[in-house]
Amino acid sequence: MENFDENWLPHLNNRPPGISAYRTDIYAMASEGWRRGLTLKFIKAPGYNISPALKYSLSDGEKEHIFSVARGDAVTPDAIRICEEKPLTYYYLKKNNVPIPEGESFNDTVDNHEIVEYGKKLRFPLVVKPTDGKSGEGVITNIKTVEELENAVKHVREELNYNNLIIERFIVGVDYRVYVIDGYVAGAYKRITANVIGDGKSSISELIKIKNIKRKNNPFIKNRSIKINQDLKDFLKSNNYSLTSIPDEGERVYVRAHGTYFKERDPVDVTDDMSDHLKQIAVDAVDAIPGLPHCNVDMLINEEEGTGYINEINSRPQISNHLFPMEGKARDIPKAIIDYYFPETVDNEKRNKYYFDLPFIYETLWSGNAKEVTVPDVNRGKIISKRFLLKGVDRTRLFDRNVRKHAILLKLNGYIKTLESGNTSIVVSGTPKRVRQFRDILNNQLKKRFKIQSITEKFSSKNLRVGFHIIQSKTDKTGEVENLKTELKKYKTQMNKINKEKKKLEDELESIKNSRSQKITKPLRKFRSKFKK
Amino acid sequence: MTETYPFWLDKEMLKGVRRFNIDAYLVALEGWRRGLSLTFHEHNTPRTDLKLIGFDPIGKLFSLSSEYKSHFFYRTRGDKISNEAVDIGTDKELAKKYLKKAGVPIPEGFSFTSETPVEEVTESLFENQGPFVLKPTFGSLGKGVTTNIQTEEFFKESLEYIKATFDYTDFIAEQHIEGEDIRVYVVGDEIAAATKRTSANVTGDGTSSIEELISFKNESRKSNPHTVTRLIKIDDRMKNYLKKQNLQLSDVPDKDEIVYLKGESNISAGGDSVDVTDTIRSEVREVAIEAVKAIPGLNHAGVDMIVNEKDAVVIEINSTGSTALHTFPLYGESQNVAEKIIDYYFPETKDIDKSNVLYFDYPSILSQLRSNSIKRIEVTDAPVGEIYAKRYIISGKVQKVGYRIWSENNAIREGLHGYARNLKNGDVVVVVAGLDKYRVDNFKHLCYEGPRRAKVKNVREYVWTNRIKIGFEIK
Repeated sequence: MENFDENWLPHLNNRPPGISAYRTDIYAMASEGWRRGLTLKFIKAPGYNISPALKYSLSDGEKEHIFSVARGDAVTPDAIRICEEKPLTYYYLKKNNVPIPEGESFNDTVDNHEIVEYGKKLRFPLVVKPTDGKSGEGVITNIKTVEELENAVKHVREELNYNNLIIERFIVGVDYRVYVIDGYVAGAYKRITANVIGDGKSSISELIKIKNIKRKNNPFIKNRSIKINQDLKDFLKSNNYSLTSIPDEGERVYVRAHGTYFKERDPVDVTDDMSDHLKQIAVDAVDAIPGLPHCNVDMLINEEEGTGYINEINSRPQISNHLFPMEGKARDIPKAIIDYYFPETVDNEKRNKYYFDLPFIYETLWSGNAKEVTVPDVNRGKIISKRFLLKGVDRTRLFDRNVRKHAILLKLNGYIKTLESGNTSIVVSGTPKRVRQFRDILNNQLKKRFKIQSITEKFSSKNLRVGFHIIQSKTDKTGEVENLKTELKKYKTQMNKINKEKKKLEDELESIKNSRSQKITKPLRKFRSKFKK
Repeated sequence: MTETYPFWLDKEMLKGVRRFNIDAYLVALEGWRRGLSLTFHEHNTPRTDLKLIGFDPIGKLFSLSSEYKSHFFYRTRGDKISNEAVDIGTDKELAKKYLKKAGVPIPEGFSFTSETPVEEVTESLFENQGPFVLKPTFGSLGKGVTTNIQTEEFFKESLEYIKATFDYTDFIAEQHIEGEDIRVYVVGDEIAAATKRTSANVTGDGTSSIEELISFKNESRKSNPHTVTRLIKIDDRMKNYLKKQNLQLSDVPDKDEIVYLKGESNISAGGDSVDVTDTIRSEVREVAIEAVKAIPGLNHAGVDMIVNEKDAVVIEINSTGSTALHTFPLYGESQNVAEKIIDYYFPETKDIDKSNVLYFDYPSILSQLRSNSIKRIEVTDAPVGEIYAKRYIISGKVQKVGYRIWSENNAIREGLHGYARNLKNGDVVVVVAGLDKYRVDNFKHLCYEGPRRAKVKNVREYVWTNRIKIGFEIK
């Protein structure tokens, strides 16, 4: 696994392979409830299609809550609709005196001319954006002239085919994402333009490489490296840098123009830096929307002046940037959400030892084999893990299946696999009583039946995939090692031979050098070599 | 030998499904094809108290639900069979008491335990006219059953063998009634199927030895999903049994001579199964139905009977009786017992227009349940109605361009099931199926487009009437 940043939440280091990008959100949320002992079920929406954001439910046996990514069922359908339609969002915010950029939305009954006239009255600079646009598509910022405004309106309407659009004042500020739940700010981050920080030794191009390694280590943004292209070179040049410049230690150098290359930005935690005044604006915004107990608030914040405006409210935001910031501390949004829905589980012991196979569940639901999959519950109460080392046992299919059957019937998690030494390792994890029962079965029934020479046991601290898994050795490694050994031997003999020959030739050379004729001709040869130069 | 697979099943559907999993699968498949929601549960779910029997209960517990009701099943046994009825069925002595009380004919006999002195047992047994049968009271699958015991010596020998081989402590000794061994599956007031079992045997061809004949017979047993795990095993008991007939494995029987290899008529021990559903006498049917009625809360079950020209006696009740036996007989017609069971639980779905080509990926569900990686899984609902399917062969630059993944995404978006596969000649095959004829036909136009990197030259279309696995698979 990648290097896990010490600022991140340790339990999220224990993820199944294949959990990155948008899946980190679902995994972080679902596993937060699951590791507290709640029953976790993944659900495909009715019909055959599923969207990547499939739903899941958490249940304590009495109540069940359904989630879509980080949005739970306490968020009402009305609230979702209000957040989706910006004019509605602004209506509610305005009504409750929450600061929003001054502006107006227009539908297809209004012609371009009228919109431009409104814009002129609003004062430049302006922003034009489609009313139902998603993830920044068609957003045109910093419009300074009437001509630019005319073009922007034309572009959004005629080229992007959005008839309904919003025109508002362009606020110079930093884009903050503030997670509000139950009336408080659980976390806030901002995204800063792609940048590197100097170490006094490395060039910008080397620093970008180092940065990209750090980005690759980040589960959420791992596929979004900073690409060195002409844009980047031009931007550096305009700031009197080049790829070979060496920034001072601690100096931050932006490698992209502000407001460009969104995917290369860095999420930076700002929860503690945000003033109470700004936090209150976010909380007020959420309070202004009926039926919205938790969500993400996009704010534009002027850091110098300490002022902020609400840009958007997202009822189903991604939360991974809170969990895996590039700078600053992780904020445990899943904990805050699950605490809200299942307050009685706040103090439940968290089973961090186990993880579940989300990629498999995705595949099963996506390919249409199943419409609901429930993950096995984690045991409540004390659990222990033990590793049994078995010597001299033939791992037949029958043996593997017997071991697995006993483990499953005792509700133990773990695996059986063959070690490089050729011994067999069985790891089981569960309540002490059941682990003991398993040991007895192993020592009494199975030892005799499968002629196991010896069994030694140890405590194990490994993280485990839930369930009991038979791990097959991919190939017969022992044979492979033997082959490599013989080959190595062969090469060694060849090397010895070559060394001997080399020695012989060197000796010969030496004797030639020392021979009389060579000594006599030495000055001549020296002269010749000089002449060649 | 008859056609192994009936029209509603095929080899591919049963691939990787063996033993009692077949029973669970056939019932689950039948309900699911009718549009019922199918969920497989972990074996120890608190959602049902259905009694689980057998060595390996994992993957055989499922529920079928309509909008109005839900029923749990374990293998073939649904929740209309009470747990008390299951207990009665397992205890052969108790079962006999109930049958006797209801006037159902049973063989005369008595029970004893391993504590009872053997001399005492033989004495009271051989007061009566033999031959006799010896069986464990709580046995199953015909394990430890010895039939046709004529002498005290053989009785003792058989008892010793059972005690040494199995852990049984309770036994029944009863009258051996000469006749055919028939398993009748009763559902309510009806016979769903009747199958005759013979003891393991071979028929001579005049040139092959018994040993060779056994291996020929096993070859054909391997092609039948029910008998593939029930081959004829050569063991000391068989050798002894042959010896009693003055035979040995190397002997060459005459052409058409039938040589019996074992005493017990048990398919697990290599016996043959012959469908006799349409030929059994009406009084045999009556006895079978009465037998199921005699056990309170039973409602449907497999009834083991011995039938000869004049008598039909019940020797055992199987509350979790197999359907695979009747669906895959070695000789005769396949009987769809699962259909009758689902009719009984969901009579309102009887006339539903279900498809016989649909199936779901049971082996993958099994492997997830066996490793306890999942707790519960609800299978995608089957489209109910006539399935319309096309097979498209796409040629051009269509491999290594992500064509199959593209076709998966598009099929899923269109709500179609099927698969995509690369051919060796560079073409791609896409099979799509669904209820909506237009979407299936229209998929051809989509195939012409393909993913961005593809250059499609031609799409040929064929009608597809074969099996369809639910979902979309990249092969």
